[in-house]
Amino acid sequence: MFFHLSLDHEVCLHPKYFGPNLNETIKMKLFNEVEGTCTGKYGFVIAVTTIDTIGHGVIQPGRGFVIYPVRYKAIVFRPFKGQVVDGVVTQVNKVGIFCDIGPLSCFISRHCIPPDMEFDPNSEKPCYKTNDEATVIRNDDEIRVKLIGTRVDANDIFAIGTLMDDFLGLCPAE
Amino acid sequence: MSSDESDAVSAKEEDTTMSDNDDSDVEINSSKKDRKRKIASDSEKSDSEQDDDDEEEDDEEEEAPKKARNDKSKKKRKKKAPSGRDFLAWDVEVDDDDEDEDQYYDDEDDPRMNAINEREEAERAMKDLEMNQRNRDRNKFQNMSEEEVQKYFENKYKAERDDGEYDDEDSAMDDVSKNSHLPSTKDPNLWIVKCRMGEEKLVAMHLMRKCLAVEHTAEPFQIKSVVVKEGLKGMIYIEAYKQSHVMSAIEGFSALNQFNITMVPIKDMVDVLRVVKDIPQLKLGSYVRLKRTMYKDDLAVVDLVDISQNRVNLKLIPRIDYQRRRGAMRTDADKNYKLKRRPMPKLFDQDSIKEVGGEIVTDGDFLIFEGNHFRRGFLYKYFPINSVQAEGVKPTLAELEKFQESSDDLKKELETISMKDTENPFVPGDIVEVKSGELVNLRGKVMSVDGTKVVMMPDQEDLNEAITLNASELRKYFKEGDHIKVISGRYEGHTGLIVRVKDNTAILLSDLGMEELKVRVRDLQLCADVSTGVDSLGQFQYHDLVQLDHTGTVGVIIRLEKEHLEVLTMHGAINRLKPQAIISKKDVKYSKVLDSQNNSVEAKDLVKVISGPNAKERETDDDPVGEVLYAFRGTVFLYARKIAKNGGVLVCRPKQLLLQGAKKQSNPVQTARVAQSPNPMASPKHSSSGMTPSSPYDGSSRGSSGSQTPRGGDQRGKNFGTANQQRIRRDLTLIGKNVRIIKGPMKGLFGIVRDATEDTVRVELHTQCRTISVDRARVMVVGDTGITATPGGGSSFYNSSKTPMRDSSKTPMYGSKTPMYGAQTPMYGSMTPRAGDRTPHYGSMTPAYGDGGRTPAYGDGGRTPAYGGKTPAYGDNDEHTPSRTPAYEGGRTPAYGGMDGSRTPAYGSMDNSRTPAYESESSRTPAYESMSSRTPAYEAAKTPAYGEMDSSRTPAYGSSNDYESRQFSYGTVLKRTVLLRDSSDSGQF
Repeated sequence: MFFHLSLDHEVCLHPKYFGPNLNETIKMKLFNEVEGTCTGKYGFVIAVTTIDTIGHGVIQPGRGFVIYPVRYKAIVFRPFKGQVVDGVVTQVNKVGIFCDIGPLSCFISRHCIPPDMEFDPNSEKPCYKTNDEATVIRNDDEIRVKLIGTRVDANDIFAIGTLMDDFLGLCPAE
Repeated sequence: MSSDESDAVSAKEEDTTMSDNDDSDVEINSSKKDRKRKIASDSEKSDSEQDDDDEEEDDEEEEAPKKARNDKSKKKRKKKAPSGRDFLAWDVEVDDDDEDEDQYYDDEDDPRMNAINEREEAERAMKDLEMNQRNRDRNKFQNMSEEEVQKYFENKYKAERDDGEYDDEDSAMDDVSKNSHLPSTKDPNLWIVKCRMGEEKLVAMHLMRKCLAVEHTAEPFQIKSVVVKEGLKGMIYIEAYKQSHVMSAIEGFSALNQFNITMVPIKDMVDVLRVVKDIPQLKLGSYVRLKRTMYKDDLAVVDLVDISQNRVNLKLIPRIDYQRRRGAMRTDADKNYKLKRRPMPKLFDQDSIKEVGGEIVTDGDFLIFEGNHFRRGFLYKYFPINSVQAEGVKPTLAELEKFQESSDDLKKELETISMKDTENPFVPGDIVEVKSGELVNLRGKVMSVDGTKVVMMPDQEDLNEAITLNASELRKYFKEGDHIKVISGRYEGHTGLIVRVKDNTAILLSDLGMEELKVRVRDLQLCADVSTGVDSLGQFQYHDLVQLDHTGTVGVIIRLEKEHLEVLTMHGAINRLKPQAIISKKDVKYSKVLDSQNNSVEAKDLVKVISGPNAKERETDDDPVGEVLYAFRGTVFLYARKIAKNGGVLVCRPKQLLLQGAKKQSNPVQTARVAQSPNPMASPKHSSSGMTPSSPYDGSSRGSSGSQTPRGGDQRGKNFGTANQQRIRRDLTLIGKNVRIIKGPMKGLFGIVRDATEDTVRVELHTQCRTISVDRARVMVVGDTGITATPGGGSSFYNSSKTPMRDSSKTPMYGSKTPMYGAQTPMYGSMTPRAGDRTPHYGSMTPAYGDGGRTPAYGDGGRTPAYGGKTPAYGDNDEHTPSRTPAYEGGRTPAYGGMDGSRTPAYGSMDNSRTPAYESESSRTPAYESMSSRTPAYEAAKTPAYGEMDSSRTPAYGSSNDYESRQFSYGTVLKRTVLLRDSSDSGQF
């Protein structure tokens, strides 16, 4: 799920940047440091939308670096258990299917793939397919997955998904 | 007799009681007697003697004719039995009873005496009762017409059916009706009779036969039933009113002890016949331990169970005494030979047996020795079931190993479990499911645990009271997607997400790598916090590089289990080892290798696998990409997140790899050359003057960033100067090669090149445990065709890429070399300690300046105080020490020139680049303060210096430099610089 959140971040700046473009530098650095990262609590920070305040910098004794508290708003992506999402298959092997849901990587174990779909290692691209080949899931296909569990680390989120539910599986190509 | 039979007997009893109320005087009497008997057994005196006596008389009156009639026709007796007097007796006696009780408390003469009388009397009465009843039963229908019989049965069964319906309709009556079945004081007692072990069933059968035999004699059995409880050794139960009945019944049974008959108290009678659930059963393939014999406490596998004979065939490791001589070799001494200690368990060894003269016979698949059967080293032997302990057997891994069970292990473990262990696997907070009983499939949360009792809160809305259940009725419940921790078993400590739950097993996806583990549900526990699983075992950690043997085999730990670890060796094999089997941990953080394009690759670099067994299988796939964990000699261990096998660890040869970010180039040698030494004109002297020792550290600091993509384009290209300086003068072509020292005190020794520059190499000696620096001219690459690694010879490709200009700049360089060698000698001493030092870069400067070749430069440099430090060297060198000029300029000029087209902005960018460069070093070195303080001076001093240099240099380049090679170096430098910036960034922020 996506959220628009107000978040805080501390930007640590080298003294060499103290000059006319200070604010710009802080912003640049904030974007660099924040966008694309993941926190277990809020999920993946997709993009910073606004910077609300840049607080007063505090010089670090003995180092000369300055820490600016920045309050900003960002769009975050936080996957939840039970959520149904679309993803792109990145890898297919006999253990299961790996897919990317934006920045989130998700694993679909072969136990969570409908039993009528079998792994075919011999086809040109390895794939899971039904016997009649009505559905074939291979690399770069878009699939709809239900997340059945997430593992939230300090700076990464990993999900496992299932295809064993109604309307899950290969997204019909438009 | 089984309990069923006893039921039948008592049912029959009941029937007669019900049906014959109307015409059974004796029965009524007897029931009254019964009550009295109880009273008497309390040894209390009642004053109902009179009554009793009366009754006695009555009985006797009746008895006498009965006895007389015994042989007469039954018809006659029947006629007599239902007399009107009996009906009266009923009423009267009930009253009497009340009286009895009243008086009973009033006087207490001699209770004991009375009790004995009463007992005798009751026994007699009982006998009559029995006789009559039996006769009555037999003759019941004799006087009845068909209609009467029909009516009788109709009534009888109609009433029963009604009862049944009633039960169904109103469950509240259940308790009552159930209670009505409980034994009361009126019912016969249970007597415990001691029995010879193992003959319980036999005795019961004999009693049955005896019962049938004496049925029609004068003294039929008066006992009601015999109960043999399965699994209860050494005693049987006999149901009877009197102890004497029991005694008379068991008379003549040698297996039963007549003199030790005890009564079961009424309240315990129910428990005697309670059916105990889940009597442990031996299952084929389950593990058991022996309780007795030589094999006491040994682990065995059930091979065959023979319930009828009460024995079990076990497969176990034999304990044979291979010392004792047998057969023909036996001597007198051996006859008296006594086992002092039990022999060690060892697989059956045919040869050893033959050695001591034992004879072995074969029987199909089996070998027979001394009456024992052996197959594949294991002993197969019958043991009585009761000498085997089946519950709570937890084989240790070591024991299991001996049984050579591997893949089946878990399966077997799963088959035999039914929560029989005494320990309670539940803890508060577990989600459990009821697996048997009325509440089956009810889920709830464990609130508290008390011994084997579990208090759980059902998660049904309607049930809001905690329920107490037996642990054996529960199982843990997990859903797919639960994050759990394995709390016991082989994978203890692992955490993961449940992918699937099936029966007793759960499949979980380990948090470490993409690995699916199959574990027993009972070994799992919900784990709220995320842990990284087992990542350390003693001193070893996941992904550690370890040495496996003394031949230099190393491997990376790819899995840690409770007692084992799995290591992926440099040969690609997976070894499962105990931690003790590992010789040492290896620390090769700073070693590096060359990839297929001769890019230097070291730990933490991202590389692609482009060939070899780990490469992509199909054209359509992407090349596997991994991070270098270790580069060890000719082996690179990679960690590729996306690969499920071996926890994502791959082992590759360096030549199968390509550094990520490096372009495939048509002229790899040249690329490598330029990449390593963007300063081709650097004089050997310069390179030797202090940079060499520091280079390993330069390399490592830079390498830590790998080849990440640049972030923040505004900063790119700022660190060129540093990149240049650090990248300078490294010769990787020799690294990892085997060399022989061909001159000097170490002549003749072999070693591996750990580091090399244009003119010195650091050689790790094979013979001695140390690394020394040797002049390059003094080593020879082993296996090569006798080429010494001299600067000229070693860099043959170097020459090929050389531009004319470089040649021209080299000329003085070579010239200057001659004095240099002399100057170098003192340097060796200072180099060795520096290698281990963290600040060699700066420290090493001092000897450089001190050395003979340079000192004059300072001397006539006309140093101005403003310059300070070493900065003026740049300016002065140009004029005063022409031989060295190319070194400095070469290092700098192409980089800056190429980078910035024009000179002026170059300084600006230089300022920037300097600072982070120093910072990146400062974060690692205590020398930071001094360095940074030098910065302004340095730059201030530089400006004029460069100005001068420009003018002198520009024509030189214009005339002799070929533009392309400069571009080349620019590209490479740019890339390196960006990497460097990243590393410095991460160091700082």
